[in-house]
Amino acid sequence: MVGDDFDGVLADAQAGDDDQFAVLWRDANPALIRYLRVLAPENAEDIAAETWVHVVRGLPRFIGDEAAWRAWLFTTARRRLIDQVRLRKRHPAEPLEDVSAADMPRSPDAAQTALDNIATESAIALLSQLPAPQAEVILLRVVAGLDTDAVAELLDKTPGNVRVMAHRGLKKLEDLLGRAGVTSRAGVTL
Amino acid sequence: MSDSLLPTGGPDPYDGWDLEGMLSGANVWLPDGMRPVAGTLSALRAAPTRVELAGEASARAAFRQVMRANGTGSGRPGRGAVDGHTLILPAQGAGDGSRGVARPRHSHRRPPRRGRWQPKALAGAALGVAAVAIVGGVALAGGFSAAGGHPGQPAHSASAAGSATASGHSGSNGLDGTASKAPTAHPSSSHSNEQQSGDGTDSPAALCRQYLAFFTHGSQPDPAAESGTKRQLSELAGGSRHIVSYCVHLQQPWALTPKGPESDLDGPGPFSSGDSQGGPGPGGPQDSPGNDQSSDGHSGNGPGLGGGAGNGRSGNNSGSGNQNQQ
Repeated sequence: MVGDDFDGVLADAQAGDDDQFAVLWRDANPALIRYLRVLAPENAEDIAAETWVHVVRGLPRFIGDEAAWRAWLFTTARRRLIDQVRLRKRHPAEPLEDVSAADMPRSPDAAQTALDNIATESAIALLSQLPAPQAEVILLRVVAGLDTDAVAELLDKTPGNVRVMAHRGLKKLEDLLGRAGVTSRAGVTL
Repeated sequence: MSDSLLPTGGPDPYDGWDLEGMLSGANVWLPDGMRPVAGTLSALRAAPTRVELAGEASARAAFRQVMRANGTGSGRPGRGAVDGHTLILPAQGAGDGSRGVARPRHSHRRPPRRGRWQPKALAGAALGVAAVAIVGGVALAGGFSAAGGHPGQPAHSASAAGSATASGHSGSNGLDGTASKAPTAHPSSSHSNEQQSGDGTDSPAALCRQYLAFFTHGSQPDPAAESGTKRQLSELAGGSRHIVSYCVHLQQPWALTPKGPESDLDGPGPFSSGDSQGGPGPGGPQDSPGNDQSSDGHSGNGPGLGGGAGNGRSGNNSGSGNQNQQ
């Protein structure tokens, strides 16, 4: 979170100061990437870049506080995500069946990512196993930092519905972790 | 016992407060089973990785490009963002702290307003009317050698340009168009007087010829005769504003003779002064310095005679185009 400086940072970014825009970007892009990597792991970076372009285009007209800013950013990302899903349905990508694993390009970023934050990667991998609505609610609450009402508005659901989905998602997460042997529920013998 | 079963007895550990606290990252009491879940959520909130911040340079570049294209602000790069590929422009209004107000190049362009009598449109309409009137005048001046052959009217030997035309069509028109005088576009005073002193009742065609002769050449050999002609034609046409269209309509068969009346003009045409308004027509000279003042880049299709009538949209051209009648 940018915090108390958000208004000034936003105003300068709206005036075209890319240093201040970078403050916003550094604050929000990791969360955006994590959100998208769970819901669209194949092209999360592409959708994130597209999201930022849309956000920058509308930045001069944006009015609101930091919570509204993050809600707007993730709303934009979600729309881009839906567009990508529709596009992929119309134009499915060809599977790379004839390319062996040895021939697949290896990015140094993949290894670096694993070394940088194994826990985060593991958490993203774990959330990817949840049903998408539950994972999305948890990500918007935890990663994007939105409150229940904002998530409900973003997903066009009621706050109660959002709480139920979050609850179910957390329980599912607990179940997955338990199956993986990470922990055991108190009072329950595995 | 499977861990998927709900714990028996005791309160539900996932009450609303705990759920909200865990999702918001607050330090709340959690049952043992939820602590790994809380750890997972904490990992999701962990500090950014290098990969997640790797695209900052691209994001900055996109930001500058989009902001510059938007025209909002200056899209000025920050201190750490200057590279060799970025042209840094001075911020508009930076001195007084005001933001630059450059408008987007393509956005918010208003559609052309229609139905408004703007000065340019009025000027264009006036030019168009004048062009039609003058073209009609030239046509009548050229074709009126036979106009005198209307039933009951004598043929005028001093008619401007239509002797050859009339002679070529005498049979079809039932006229005796044997004009002996060399064609000229200049009316003579004797010509006017002859008409006025005919049988005392000038025909509409003769009146039109006189009027257009005055109009075409701008000479006033007999102001009294001219005003009388105007008055009579005004009565015939239903108003002075309708004289030109009345005369053109009246003499249309002659104006549509295969040999154009303009071709018989030997004198300077009405546009020969060189200061005529309107750019060159489509067939006009390409090197004429037409000064198209329209802002949307329409080429100057003014009502040039040589290229035919220009389209009416571009009547707001004010270039001094050469006319190919010269």
